[in-house]
Amino acid sequence: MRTMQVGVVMLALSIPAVAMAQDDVQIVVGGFSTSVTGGEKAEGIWHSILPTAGKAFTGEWSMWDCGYFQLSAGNDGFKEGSTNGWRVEVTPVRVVDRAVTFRLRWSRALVNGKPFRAETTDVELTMRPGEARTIDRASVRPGSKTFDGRPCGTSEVALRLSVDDYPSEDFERRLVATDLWLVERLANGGERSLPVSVRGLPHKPVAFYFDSITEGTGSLDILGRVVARPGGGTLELSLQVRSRWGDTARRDGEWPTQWVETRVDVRPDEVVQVALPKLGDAGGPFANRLFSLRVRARQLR
Amino acid sequence: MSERHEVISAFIDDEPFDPQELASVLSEPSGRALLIDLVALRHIVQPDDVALSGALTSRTSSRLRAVGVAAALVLALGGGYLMGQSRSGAIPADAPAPTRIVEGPAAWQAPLPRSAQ
Repeated sequence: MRTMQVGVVMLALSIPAVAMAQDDVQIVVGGFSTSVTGGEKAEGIWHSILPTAGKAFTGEWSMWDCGYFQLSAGNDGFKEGSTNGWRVEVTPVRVVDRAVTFRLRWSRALVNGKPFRAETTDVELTMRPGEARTIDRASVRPGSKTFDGRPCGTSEVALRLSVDDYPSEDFERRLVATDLWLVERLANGGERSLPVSVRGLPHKPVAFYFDSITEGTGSLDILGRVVARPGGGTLELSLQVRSRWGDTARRDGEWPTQWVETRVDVRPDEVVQVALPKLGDAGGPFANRLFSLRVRARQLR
Repeated sequence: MSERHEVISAFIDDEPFDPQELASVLSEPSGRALLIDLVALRHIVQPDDVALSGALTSRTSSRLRAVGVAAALVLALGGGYLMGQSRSGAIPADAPAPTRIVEGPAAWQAPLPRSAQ
């Protein structure tokens, strides 16, 4: 019987499929449990599906005792002694700009250990990395025990579907370095700059913080985050830049915060300049200062 | 006793040693840690109030000299290592000239988007 249990599935299903990755995304169906006295946590069992258009991926999920999961990806039926069982089929349709469209067909086929003829839910969904939805939930039978005979601390379980980056963070080896300079154009035609260099994984936001700029007791912070997406010899950088200023002589009061977002494709040999708008009225003593960003980025491995 | 141990021990005891081998051993953190351990050990086992004979004075002086040299080596190697570490992530303070200028966003926005909060 081709079944996989806790902790094994992610590795077993992810690695052979590296060559099929499209747009660095994957569809993931995973088991979660909710503690009687706490929150929800992942059970560590996943069905990782790379978006190969038109191919149906079926998983049979068995649940038993204290909310334990077993996944079979080979139509082998449910584990003996299961209290609940689900069939979940995912058929990728297309990927556009990392938004994955797919059909989700699922049904609960086993309830309280008996076959159950529930209606099959069949929907077409479009989701982006970081988005998730719950497929179904089931309560854990009162009086259930753990593997070693102790009282079960799980109240219910859930199957959840998400679209995530591929490969997942644990398996990602690519590394991107981004150098940023905050450049201020001075009245005399010169310029001065503040540097920041950050490193991070593709598709993951990496925070950056420039040193504060002061004007009397006023202090201006320019910070933000950059997301790098490799592709075709260039890096597509999404830059979200935030500005906030305040009077350091005052302890109270909020620091007005503004933000801008921009996307830029950067080749390894380029230094790209992006002008930032004037801070305006919300910028206090920095309202009319002229700032721009210069960006250099390269994939290190 | 390992070769690393021997070369460091010979260095501290003012005995003949291969400088290249010592430099090689001290280029690794474990070698530097071993040196510090041995120096500390010798400091502990050395009597506090010894009536120093001329020979002992000379020996102790050379030991102190050796420890001083060792400390200098550790500082030099360690300092170089740390400097290399900080340099690996450093970029010039002055921004390089842009090779391309792209149009930026038209205006700042507020409040922050939910994903940024």
